[in-house]
Amino acid sequence: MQAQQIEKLSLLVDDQLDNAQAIPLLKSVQRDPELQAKLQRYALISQALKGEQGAVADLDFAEKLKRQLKSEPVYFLPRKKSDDHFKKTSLAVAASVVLAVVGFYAGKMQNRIQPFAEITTAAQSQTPADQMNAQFKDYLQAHDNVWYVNNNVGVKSYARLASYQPK
Amino acid sequence: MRLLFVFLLFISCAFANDDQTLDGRQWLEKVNHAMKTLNYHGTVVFMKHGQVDTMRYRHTFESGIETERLTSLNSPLREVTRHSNEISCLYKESQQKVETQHPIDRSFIVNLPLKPERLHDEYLFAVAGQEMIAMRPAQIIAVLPKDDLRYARKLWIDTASLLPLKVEVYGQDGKTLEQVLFTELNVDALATQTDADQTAADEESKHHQHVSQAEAFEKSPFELKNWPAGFEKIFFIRNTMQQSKKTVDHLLISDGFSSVSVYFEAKGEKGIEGLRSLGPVNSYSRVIDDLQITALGEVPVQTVELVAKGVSLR
Repeated sequence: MQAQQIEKLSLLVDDQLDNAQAIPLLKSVQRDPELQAKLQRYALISQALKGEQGAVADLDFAEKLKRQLKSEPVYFLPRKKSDDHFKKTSLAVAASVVLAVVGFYAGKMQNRIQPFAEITTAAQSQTPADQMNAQFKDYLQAHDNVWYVNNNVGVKSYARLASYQPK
Repeated sequence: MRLLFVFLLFISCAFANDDQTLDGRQWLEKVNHAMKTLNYHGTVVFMKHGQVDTMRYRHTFESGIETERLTSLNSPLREVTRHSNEISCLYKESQQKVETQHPIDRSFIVNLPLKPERLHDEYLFAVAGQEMIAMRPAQIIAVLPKDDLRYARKLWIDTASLLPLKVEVYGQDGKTLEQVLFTELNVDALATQTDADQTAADEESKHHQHVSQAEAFEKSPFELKNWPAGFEKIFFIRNTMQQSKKTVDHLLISDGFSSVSVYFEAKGEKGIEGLRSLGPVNSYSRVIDDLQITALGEVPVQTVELVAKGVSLR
């Protein structure tokens, strides 16, 4: 593979190659599998550099996908709606159960690290958050005039509740 | 906490200025006096509760009365004025004005004890090197608590005017909880201060800083059995809350740096119990019979819990 072509590939990926040079290059790429692989690698690197997240795929990923789509059978028979509905319902139930189990264990794990977390929820369900926030704000205002310095008493209803733990 | 203490002590010793003739306590006394009696203005950055506010600041001292004025440079535009213990806050966009009165004078910049020597058993005042703040040479004073019931803090003091240029408050993990920082400070020409002015200032200070209505608390149905060493009862008043308009009995205790308010009010439909936190501010609520009790202050969690649990009914 010529170094010149590789350089052109790089320019092509960066959108810096003019049409006159790009068309013959693309024709060469079409013929040469090594150049195709190079172009895909360059495109991937470019994406990884431009985006926050990079994805790693096999070099022939696009080709495999194309083949898979071609070999996909086409069904013209109408599918039973009840089966479809049943499948969807089963899937939803299964997802809910998984979510509930994950949520339960995540909660337990969280409580081990943050003993206040469970209590926070309990406290908030016992007393409306607004009532607690209003009281907290009133108390803060009465406690210290510095409250007025960096809080928007007249603008926001306040108060951001960071944590709560009943005894 | 102990690690932080040892670390700050090490820093203090390492950077201690041999030529420095004042000790930490003397520095604090001088700062307290300068803050109250000088006329000065500048730009201050407040970093509190996760918010950053930049404000123009002006302090004046006339006829023994302190006035502080803060004007925000960013939205929401507001002007906060403290004339002795009267505070007003004008929101320029909505033209809403909030006025309130606090029983004691409390500076917007930093609160310091009148008699730091009284806190010998609770704090270590260490002289800890010099730095430049707002292009002014500043002496650093570390205020290090000897227990876990209060926060450590550091003050950067302008060596020329003795005004605080920067204040940092540290949590028990050593992280900075809040900062107040002058980015620009101008000390105005000294107004001719008469003896009458100084006397008036002293009287004002005594009136507002000393234990004023502690006897009223002794006659109240409440009793405070436990509170951290070094804290004193500052006032006990019946107050109407700004928003809820509820009548609440308010006891303030303070060691000069940190203060804790204890609120007593009739229990609502559902009593509130437990801890709440907002940045460095913590509160602990509990219910005794039909009484809702809340201890709140810029102190660690265990302090508000200790105070709230120290309340009983006579």
